[in-house]
Amino acid sequence: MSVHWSSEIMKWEYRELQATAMSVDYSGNNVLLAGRRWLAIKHISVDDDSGDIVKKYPRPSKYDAAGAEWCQTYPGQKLCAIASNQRVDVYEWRAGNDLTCICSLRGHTRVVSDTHFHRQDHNIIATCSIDTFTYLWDLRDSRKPIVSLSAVAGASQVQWNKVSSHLVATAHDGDIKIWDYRKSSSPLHYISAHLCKIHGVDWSPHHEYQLVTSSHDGSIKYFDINNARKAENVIMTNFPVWRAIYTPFGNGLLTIGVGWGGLPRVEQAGVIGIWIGGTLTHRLVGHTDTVQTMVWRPNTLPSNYQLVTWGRDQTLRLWTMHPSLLKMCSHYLPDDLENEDINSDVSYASTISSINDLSVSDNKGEEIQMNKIVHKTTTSIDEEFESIREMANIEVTDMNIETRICQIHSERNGYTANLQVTFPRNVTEQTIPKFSWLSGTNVDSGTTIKILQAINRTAYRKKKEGHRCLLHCLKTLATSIDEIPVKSNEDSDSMKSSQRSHSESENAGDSCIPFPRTCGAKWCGVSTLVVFNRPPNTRRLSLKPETGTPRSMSSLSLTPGLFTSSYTSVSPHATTTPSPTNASGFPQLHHRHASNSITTFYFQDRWKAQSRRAGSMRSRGSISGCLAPRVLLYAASDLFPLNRTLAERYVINADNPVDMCEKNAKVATEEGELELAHAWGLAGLAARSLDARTVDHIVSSEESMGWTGHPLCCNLVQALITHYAKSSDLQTAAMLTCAFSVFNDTNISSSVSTISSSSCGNSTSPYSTINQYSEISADGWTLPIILRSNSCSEAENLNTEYSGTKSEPSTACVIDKSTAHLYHCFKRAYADVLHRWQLLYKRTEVMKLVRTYPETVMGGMGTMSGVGVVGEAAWECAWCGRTVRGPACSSCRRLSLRCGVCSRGVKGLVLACGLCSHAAHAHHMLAWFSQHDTCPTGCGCKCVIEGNSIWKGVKYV
Amino acid sequence: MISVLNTIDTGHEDMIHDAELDYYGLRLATCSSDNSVKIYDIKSGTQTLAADLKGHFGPVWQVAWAHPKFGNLLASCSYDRKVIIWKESGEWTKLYEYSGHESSVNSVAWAPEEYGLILACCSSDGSISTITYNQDGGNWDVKKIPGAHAIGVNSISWCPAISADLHLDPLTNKDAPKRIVSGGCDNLIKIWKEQGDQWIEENRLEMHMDWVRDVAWAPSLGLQRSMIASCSQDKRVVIWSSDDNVSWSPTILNTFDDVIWSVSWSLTGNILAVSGGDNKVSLWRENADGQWLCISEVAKGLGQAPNEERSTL
Repeated sequence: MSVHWSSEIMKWEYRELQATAMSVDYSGNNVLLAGRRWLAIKHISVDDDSGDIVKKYPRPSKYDAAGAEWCQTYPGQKLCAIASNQRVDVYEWRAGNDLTCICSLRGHTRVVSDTHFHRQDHNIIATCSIDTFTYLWDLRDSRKPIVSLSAVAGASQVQWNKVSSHLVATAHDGDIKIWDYRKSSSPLHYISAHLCKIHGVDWSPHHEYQLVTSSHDGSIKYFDINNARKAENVIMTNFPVWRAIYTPFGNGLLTIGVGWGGLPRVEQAGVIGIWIGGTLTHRLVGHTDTVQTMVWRPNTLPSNYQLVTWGRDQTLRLWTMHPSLLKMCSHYLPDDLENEDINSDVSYASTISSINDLSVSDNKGEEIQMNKIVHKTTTSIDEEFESIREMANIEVTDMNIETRICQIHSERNGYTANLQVTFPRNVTEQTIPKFSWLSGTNVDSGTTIKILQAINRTAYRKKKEGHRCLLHCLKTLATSIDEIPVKSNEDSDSMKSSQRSHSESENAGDSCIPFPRTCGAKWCGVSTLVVFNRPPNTRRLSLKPETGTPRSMSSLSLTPGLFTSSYTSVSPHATTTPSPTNASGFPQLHHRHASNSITTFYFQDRWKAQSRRAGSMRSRGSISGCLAPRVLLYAASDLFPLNRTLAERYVINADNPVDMCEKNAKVATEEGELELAHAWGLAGLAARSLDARTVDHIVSSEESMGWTGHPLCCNLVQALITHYAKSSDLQTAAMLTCAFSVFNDTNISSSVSTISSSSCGNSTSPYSTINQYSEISADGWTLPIILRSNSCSEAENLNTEYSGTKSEPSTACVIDKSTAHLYHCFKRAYADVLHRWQLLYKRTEVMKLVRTYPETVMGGMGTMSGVGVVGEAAWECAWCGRTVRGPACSSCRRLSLRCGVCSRGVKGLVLACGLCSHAAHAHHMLAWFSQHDTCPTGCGCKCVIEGNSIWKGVKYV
Repeated sequence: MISVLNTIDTGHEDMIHDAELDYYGLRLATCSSDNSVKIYDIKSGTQTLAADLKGHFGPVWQVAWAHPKFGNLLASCSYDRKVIIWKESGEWTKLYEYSGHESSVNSVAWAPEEYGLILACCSSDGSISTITYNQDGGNWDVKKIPGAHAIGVNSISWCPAISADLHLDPLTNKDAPKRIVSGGCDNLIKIWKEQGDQWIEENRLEMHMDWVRDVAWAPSLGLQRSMIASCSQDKRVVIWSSDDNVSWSPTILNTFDDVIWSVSWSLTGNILAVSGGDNKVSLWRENADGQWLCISEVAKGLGQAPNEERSTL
């Protein structure tokens, strides 16, 4: 899949330093390595491979250096910050040999996890710590932080935006907070990014509003901070990702994993992955152990990007990016520049170093030199800015010669593009400005990358020709935006809705997730109540006595006192300095606070006691030991007029209603249900009178007409049924309708009753084995149809022709269609109850009495599957798919069933498999299965073996 | 009288959020903040742990058993934004994982079996999804109602398939119109009806003054009247009844002392179980005059001896 590369051009090994942090300075030529005992500065240059450390400074400290960082601004390029335990020391590297600590930033109460210099102002540095605070310091007055950003969870990362100077992102466990440091009270955005700890955050070099996060859960997510409810893109890796950083070119991504990434150590350790478009395309191989830090070497030419890495194998490596990789990342490479690469590189580097040489001489000289340079370039930037003229769709919103930044707004066809052009200082004539997108841009990221390429290309060309480039770049921008296909209304709608949802989700996350329920009751089965609730003497942590139970899960995080303690102990980096090496292995996924805090919410007292006993370590197991969550099942059958014993004993004999009523009355009496017995008695009387008329209606039809209308006959029965239905006595209501179904249904001509859901199987185990062979049957049992009819007929006299009991409508209780329908519904609902009681046979008897309308189309399954009809088999025609009940299909006039063995039509005796419903000539079937045990059609069904169990089950019924 | 049948020590390492017995009442599924789902075989007073399902990476909010005619299927939904459908075929395995939601999935419900194998789930991202098993393709089709409730959807329930509609075949009810009721953070209850390929909002019921936490459509016996129970953060339970599924009239069942979390109808649809933040469960029944009366209060605390928990009508 991915190409293995070893494109490192330089490698130095420094075992004795035991460095845990590395940083490259502004010029890109000096590397700072920080360890427990030494700070070292190494000059890296390709020409002079001495391998020597330029300077080594002892650093007596008990603590590892958690982070080392050079200030990445020109005026502050001599500053570096070393984070160690709760302190951050800022050093100045004077005159190329003297590393002096100019101040110590003390304020954090726990380990400092990350530092980051402001990208423009070298006096400002952000530090974050697992004490949950992120501080901004002004180095001119380092006694206390100038800004304090407070969060609930400890911060693991702090990153200044690469485009905007006000935005800073902090990572807290699984969440990202975006701050504008001018408004420090609350974050601008809150992104619930991952379920596990976030190890790395990197802002896009091209977009103000895009960032990428890497997490312990193995995923890398791209976010648009303005619409952060959903990640723009997600890459799932199979290892916990320590860092994921954007490539400064195109749309690539570089990753390093935690530990050995779940793979054998030798193979995986220290591999740097290069991802393009969501797939791992290259691996940079060289490090023999985990890579701790990787940074892009600053101030390299766009055609010659270099990566500097420091690994746990104590080697410092310098890598180049192959041009083909740059191309794959759709980075624009000026063809004609390729030959000049080396030359320009050298000249470029020498420019930088010459500046260094000059500036290191003394401070005064540095300032003079700086002024000179600034002065020199100011003219060119003036020219650039002056060159801009009025253009369609292009509006210059901001132009600042001081900061050398120009902002452009362009709008066309519903697309908005906000571009920021930054002219770098102290660069050669050939250097093009840096273009990046600001928020408000609604062009998708793929297109923005393409537009950037086009603009870069124009800038290159113009610069090479010695012209000013800005005007032409803006023209390119205008035409590019014009060329984007106009989006449809739907798109713009979704855009709107996404913007709307953005405003809704501003404080997204837990605030819209309902507070977890910890108590509940559910009716299950026929009459069981399942109850779970909190164990006794749970005392809820009272936020405020009057507030009651909170609404959303965010309430859990409003109790910071609880949280700081539980959080820090959950965090894998709590007690040691963060580094990929001490992160735990992959499979251990960290629970988010949600699960912890719900317990702590109710068990505050206990949890405190627990933590005191166990020190600061919190063991989930021990907490749970005293919880022992329980579920109670209550039998509430007395609350319902449903009686399983009665159901079992009731007789269903629709052909002889009189007998049925009398027998059931007896059953009810024996069970002590005297009221029911009485009802059955009344029903019996009514049935007898009706039954008598059926026989002798020819003799005295007039009289019978009178009798059916008598209030003690049909009306009585209907009143009984209605009464029981109203009082929720489904059982009696349904049984009465069963008894009188003969009289009620005579006006329905067809007497074919179908059973669509069979209830076969061993009644002691309702989990029939049948479905385990097939995947899932989405539409009814896969249970064979032939089986149904067989089982039914085996059970009792099911194949009776109902036409036999057909009687004249005049003699029956004439009920309207809706009542009849209602009665069928009762029977059906009762059948469901019987099914749940596992009285499958009784259920079948009831279902038999649910009449379907003749026009109903029955569904079949396979070509040769049968369709369940009591007493006769039906199947789908092999040719036209219609349901057929005879040998020949009425519509296509062919033999509808094809033999599974000889593939010819079947006229005579047919055998079908009980499981797969495939059928064949009976004699073919017998012959086949004397030698084989699988289905002749090749469906894979082991008809004989597996079918056997079903037939067995049937016998039990 | 109701009596304790079983006491199950679940062994979960954290709070339980839902428990449900299967169709036959022989198996119990529980889910918890410890990210796991457990299944117990229940047999006359004893229980054995049959499976411990681990696949979610967040607290599991709800479990739901499918009708046994589809095999032994269990659906679970979690804070980790996923819905997992588990299947038992010898062993319990993950059959399908749905990750189409962008926030915590709060509720899952299987459709009435007559419609086939359909699962509905709802999420704090404001949308409702229906996942239909397509037997021909052996795949799952997903339909989504985006923006069903602003802020988030907390609960859903299906309309029963047995209906008083004359033109429906009582045997299959296949063609009964599919309806879902949902409750959300916008304090509304909405009724959705499937028309053609789309779910359209048929009705919205306004009564609650705070988030609706649970909705439950009462099982139908085929009678004209259908009922929906809803409960809310505003400590009230409301019974909605309708004769045509179009116009609904509310009755306030009761205003409780604490937030109400769940409502559940009995199989025959006449007893409602209500539970809430005060750790109490109560049972309610409508009398002949249409008034709702509390018939029993159970389970004041699980720590009491089972004998004490018996309560009388």
